[in-house]
Order: sequence, then structure tokens, then C-alpha cells
Amino acid sequence: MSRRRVRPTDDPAVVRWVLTALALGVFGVLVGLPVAVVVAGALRHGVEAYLRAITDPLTVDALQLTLLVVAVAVPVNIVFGVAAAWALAKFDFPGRAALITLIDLPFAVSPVISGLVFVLLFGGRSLIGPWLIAHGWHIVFAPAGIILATVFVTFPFVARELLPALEAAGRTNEEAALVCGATGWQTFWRVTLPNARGALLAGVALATARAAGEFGAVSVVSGHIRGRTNTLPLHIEILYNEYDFSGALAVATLLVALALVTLAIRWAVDAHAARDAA
Amino acid sequence: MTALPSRSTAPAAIDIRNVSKAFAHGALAAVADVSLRIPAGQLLALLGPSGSGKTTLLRILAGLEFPDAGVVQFDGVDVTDRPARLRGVGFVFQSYALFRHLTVAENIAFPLRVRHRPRNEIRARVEELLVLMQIEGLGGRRVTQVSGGQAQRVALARALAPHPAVLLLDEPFGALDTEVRQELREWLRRLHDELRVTSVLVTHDQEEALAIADLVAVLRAGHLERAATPAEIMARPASAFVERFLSTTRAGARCTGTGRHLEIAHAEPAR
Amino acid sequence: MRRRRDALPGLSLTLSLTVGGLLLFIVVPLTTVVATSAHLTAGRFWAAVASPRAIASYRLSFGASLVAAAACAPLGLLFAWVLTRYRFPGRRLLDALIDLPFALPTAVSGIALTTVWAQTGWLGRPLARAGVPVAFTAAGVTLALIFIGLPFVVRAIMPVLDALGHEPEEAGAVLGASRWQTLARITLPTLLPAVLTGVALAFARALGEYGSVVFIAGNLPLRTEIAPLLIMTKLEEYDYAGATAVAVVLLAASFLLLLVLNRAQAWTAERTGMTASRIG
Ligand SMILES: Nc1ncnc2c1ncn2[C@@H]1O[C@H](COP(=O)(O)OP(=O)(O)O)[C@@H](O)[C@H]1O
Ligand SMILES: [Mg+2]
Repeated sequence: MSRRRVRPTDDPAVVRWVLTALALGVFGVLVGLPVAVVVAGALRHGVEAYLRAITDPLTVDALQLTLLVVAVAVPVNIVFGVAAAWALAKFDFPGRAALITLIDLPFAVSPVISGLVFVLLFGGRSLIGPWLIAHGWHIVFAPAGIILATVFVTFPFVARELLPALEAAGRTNEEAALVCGATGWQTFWRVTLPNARGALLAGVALATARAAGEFGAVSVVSGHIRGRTNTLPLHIEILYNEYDFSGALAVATLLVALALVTLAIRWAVDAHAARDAA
Repeated sequence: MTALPSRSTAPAAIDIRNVSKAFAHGALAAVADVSLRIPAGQLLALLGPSGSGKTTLLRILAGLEFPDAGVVQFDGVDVTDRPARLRGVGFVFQSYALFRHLTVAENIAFPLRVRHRPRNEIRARVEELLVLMQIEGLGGRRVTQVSGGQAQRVALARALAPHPAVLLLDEPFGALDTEVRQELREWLRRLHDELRVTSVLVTHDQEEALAIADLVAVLRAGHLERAATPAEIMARPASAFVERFLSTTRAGARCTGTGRHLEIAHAEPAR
Repeated sequence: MRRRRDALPGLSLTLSLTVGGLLLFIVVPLTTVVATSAHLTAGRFWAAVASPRAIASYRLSFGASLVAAAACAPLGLLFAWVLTRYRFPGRRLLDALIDLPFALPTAVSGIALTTVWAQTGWLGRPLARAGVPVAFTAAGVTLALIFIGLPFVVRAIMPVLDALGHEPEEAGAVLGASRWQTLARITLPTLLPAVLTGVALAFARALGEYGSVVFIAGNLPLRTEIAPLLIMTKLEEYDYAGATAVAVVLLAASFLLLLVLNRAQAWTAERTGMTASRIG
């Protein structure tokens, strides 16, 4: 009987099995089970109750505000993210590293503080708050504040996905376009952007998911006025605190679906990039 | 807006006058006080060891880099500050820099598209170039699906599409294996004889420079050491550096030519 | 001498947009916190920052975040190893879903975790019977933070492990090292900067985390109240000064962490020649 030959970097089958099982087990308990519980809980009283929960007028109101927030925050993010990625990836200038750190800042700041800053800036006790309110401009406890807080929180997403992609591509493509006679805009639209579509799409997906799902920051600035300043996550919290568990979980499934779509987009983009590189 | 050359353009004479360029403040100059004249329609080989400033000089001609001092003229017109897109040059990058999201034909059409040329004119020109480059039938391919030698021809076709007055090539055969390289070199020489567009070809291969060019310029650490015809250079290298730099070729090849271009025996493919 | 120029246009436009956006949406709002706290007298500031309730919240927030981030290190290594080195059915799915905690809204994560681990939940009930309550204890807080932190650690390690390939280990084996020696002396030290980067990211995220924690924490002052929740509570009581003071402490910690992170990433780059820049 001959001994099975193993390459020095191949883990023994037992080790492979144990580690794989351990990883799957940990993932199942830590992540899989909670998500399964959301779906199971949402459907506990049947499909009809589920549909009633997600078509409830208050849910629809919350969905509308969420869509409004996404519709403002995500385009702001795209403009900023594309501009930042262009400046930071294609050029070198003093202070570039500091700027990148500054872009990362919202990742490091607690969402609660991200909301707090706008209460301090525009609230009733701030410098300009009373003047704004006197002129009918409500920011805190109003959709405007929710949008501002969401822009703050999602600020780095598009820039952070695009930057590595544009950096890796270098400047040669753009230079080739310029000597071909293209203007700056033509270069951007016809060469830079088509080559970074995937990264842009992934960044937009992440920003959308986060904008729709932001809770802490929005919680602080919303003031919880039912049907007026509730986004979907805030609506879920209210349902949950009113012990309407299956209702809360039903609405939560909408956001779970959004998260899964986001991951699917990012996965497809990465797979595409890997195939291109090969 | 300045009119962009798109139909047949007469080849331009290139005048480089006292051009210098350093990359960081106080750093050694990548190009130091270079003056060089390339008559219209000639092919100049820019020769020199790695890091001697060949690419930098070429990029200055293309408008991708701007000199710290000195002047570049095309046909007596100062173009030193003219942006790359308005210079009417074709540029073949060392790495080809083909647009990966476009097909071969779309790459070649790119310079015409950004000039908003009529559709049928673009189609005809692309067809013409595919034939000229001997890559008929590859038009619909993605550029990731062609060989290195073919990619090289696509890059050249794209550079030539808008009828540039000047063609700049940065080590165009650097990434190819010896066989393809020699074949393409011969072919490029014949193409140049046909098109007569003023060309600057960067190479660090002495043999290539001598075999193909009307004029050879030798750079060393940013300085122009020598500029002359291949025959003159071989006869009188004029400096120890040029002598040393060319010695490998002199030892390794029998020089047989005497005319406008020097022929190097083992570089000549069988006909 | 001529002005230095760039052939590629657009720097001034895009840089103005970047700096302008950052100033308007990030820098100005954040300085408000510091400016507001500067209006407080030292005595009031100190009273808010160092009240027993605040101290207890820092202890829980920093303690639980530290434990969770540390726990993410071995877990992150496990997932990164299995995902890059092994091939098994569902690997690509696992690879995609490992980011789920990052992509899920925190409120959804919080409710989901609570549902599983509460005394009435699928796992909480048997554990509570066995005398190990999870929900509404510090253990629950830590668990939620592990959930949140895991993708950061996995994603920090994976590209480095991938780029490392088999060669260094093969070299070790050829030089006569045992498998363990090779792992301990070659593989792990190379991964260390990436692991620390991931742990620092997880810690930074955990420290400020709110949504996924508040549902499972129980939120008893002095016992299971995290610092971000304390800020929220003070705001609801219209104690802006108190909220701001606590926020300044958390912000200072975040800034410090960001600096540490930059160092850790530079170290990763130095040791592996890689720049990890995508987050999550
Ligand atoms: N973008 C750049 N930044 C800094 N230094 C550069 C840059 N491009 C070239 N250099 C330097 O200028 C010198 C000449 O480079 P280059 O023109 O590329 O030489 P060649 O093409 O002859 O190999 C080299 O020392 C190189 O390091
Ligand atoms: Mg070069």
C-alpha cells in the first residue's frame, strides 16, 4: 500500500473538512440563522398578513420617504465620488493622502454622532436654527435633516469603490484618448467611465443600500413623527417596539432583499473583473 | 475651437529647441537641453539606454508632458503649449493602450468619432486601415482577443486614423518576441516609405534603430549625444559613449548597406 | 519658467468638488460638535464626560468592542483561509454572503439577532435554560459587534492571503520547515498587518455601532448602555451639552483609530506590496 502523496501546501483532508465545517457552522449560526428568522417571522401569520404588513399605508409612507432620501443622497454621492476618484486616482498633489483619510472619516464616526452634528447645526438651539425655523425651513425632525444625515453617512461609498478601480487602470487610457483628439469630457465619458462601470455600479449599490437602511443617524434627526419622518428602518423600530414583531420583520424583508441584491451586484461585478483580468 | 486635422495632412517638420524637463523640483533633468530637427517625412529613431529620457522627449512632442524650458515647433509653428488633442499627432504607446471595452474597429474609429466625422467616412477609413495593417477580418474582435503583433497593428491603425502630421512610437516592438519583431520592423519601414509621415520611433535596440531609420538620435542621461544618419553614426560614432553603446551591433552584424538605410545582414528576412 | 501643467484636464474642477463637498458635508458639521463642546465650561464638560453613567457606557463600549474585534481575528482568519485555500460547493455563495452584515441595515440586524438570541428565541431559550443569558447582557452586545465586525476582518485578510499564494509556504517546506513552522513563521507574520488592519476596522465600527446593538443590549443605565445610546438618550432629554460631551470622547477615539488604521494599512502595504483600499 502506498502512502497518499500530499503537496506541502495542501492541508490534510481532515483539516480541510473540519475548518470548512467550522466556517459554515459559524456563518450559519451568526449570520444565516438571524436572516432565516427574519423571513420565517415575517411569514408566521401567512402570506396574506405579510402582504398586509408591507402594503400598510404607514409602511408605504415610510417607503416613499426612503425612496426620496435615496433619490437625493445617491446622486450627490455619485457626483462627489466620481469627482473625488478622478482627482485622487489620476493626479498626485500635496495633501492627497490627507484627503483620502478625510473621505474615510464618516466610516469611522458613530452614526449617532453623524445625526447629532446636524441637530447641533440646524436644531432649535443652534445659531441658525431659530432663524431657519422662523422662515419655515425645517431641517431637524424633517426630511431635509434625514437627507443631510444620510449624505454624511454614505459620503465615502462611491468614491471608495471607484478609487481603487481608477487607480489600478492608471493614466495611459486617458492619455491615449487625448492624443486621439478627445476632449476631457469625451475622455471621461468614452474611456474612463466605461472601464470603471462595474466599480461605479457596485459603489452605487452599496450607497443605495446604506441610504435606504441607515438607522442611527436618521434616528437622531427624525424626531419619529409617524407617517411624516419615518424611513423604513425607523418604521421597523416602531413596529417592533409596539410588539408587532411579524409586521416589523415583514417590512425588514424588503431591506434584506435590497441588501442581497446589492451583494449580488457586487459579486457579479467582481466576477466580471476577474474574468476580464484572466 | 481649433480645427482638427482629419483628412490627409502634409507631414510636418519637427523642431526641438533647447528642451529641458525635470520631474521633481531640483531633480536631475530627464531631458536636458535637447535640440533636434527632423525633416518632414523622415523616420527618426530615438536610441538610448533605459532611463535616458526617450519616453519623456516623445511625450513632450505629443503634448502629454510639458517642458520646463525650450520650444517645440511643427513646421515652424510653436506648439509647445498646445494641448495633446490639438497637435495632430498619432501616438503608439509602449503598452499599446488599446481601449479594452471597444472592439478593434471601434478602437481605430475612436479618433474619428471624437472628431464627429460622418459615419460613412469613419467606416471607410477603418476598412482602409484594416487592409493597410493587414488585419482585415479582425474588426469585430475584442482587443483582448488578438495577439501581441495584431494589437500592435491595431494601435498603429488607431494612431494613423486621423491622418496625423507626426507619428510617435514608444518602443512599439518591445513586448514582442524576436521573430514577430523583425517582421513588424520590416513592415513598418515599408509602411513609412508608403505614407511618408514624419515619425519618431523610440527604441533601446541599436540594431533596430540602424536598420529602420533615416536618422538616429542617441540620448544619454537626458542629453543628446549624437544625431546623424545610420551610416554616419556607424562610420564616426563621435563619442566614447555612442561607440560603446553601438559596439554590440558592430561586433554582431555585418554592415552591408551604404545608402539611405543601413542594412544589417541578419536582420533581413528571407524574401 | 513655465507654469507646471498636466496634459490630463479636470483636476481643478474635480478637486474643488471634492474639497467643497468634504467641507460642506463632513468637516463643517463635525467641527460643530467640537465648537459646541467648547462653549461648555470645563466643569460642566467634565461632569458630563465623567459621570458614573458615562464612565460605565465607555467601559461597555470599549470593552465589548475590544473583545468583539479580538474575537474577529481568529474567525476572520478561518473564513479567509477556507475561502481562499479550499474549494467546496457553495464557496462562491459564502464569499458573497460574508458581506451580509455589512450590507444589512443595522436595525434589521439588531432585530434579527435579538429574535434569535432573546430568552424566547431559537438559541436564546436553550442558552438561558442553561444559565447563560445572551440578550440584554454584555455578552449580547459583544455578539452583535462580532456580527458587525466579521466582514471587515475577512475582507482585510483575503486579498493578502490570495496574493501571497503558495510559494512562500513551498519555499518553507523545501527549506525543511514543518507545516506548523511554515505557518507560524512565514504565513502568519505576513498576514499579521492585514489581520490588525481588519481588527482596527472592526473595532472602529464597533465603537460607534448603534442599530444592531440597541435591540439586543437591554439598555439598562450603568449596566448595558453603550456610549452611542447614551448620546441618543441625552438628546431625547434635550441635554445637548451632555450629548455633545460624550460625542467628543467617541469622536476623539475615532480620529485616533483612523490614524492607527492608516499606519496599519501602510504596514500591510510595506510587508505585502499591496494597498487594501476598498472597505467592507
Ligand atoms: N512621471 C515621472 N515622474 C518622475 N520621474 C520620471 C517620470 N517619468 C520618467 N521619469 C524619470 O525620468 C528619467 C527618464 O525616463 P524615461 O523618459 O521614461 O526614460 P526612457 O524612456 O529612456 O527609459 C528616468 O530617470 C525616470 O525615472
Ligand atoms: Mg521609455
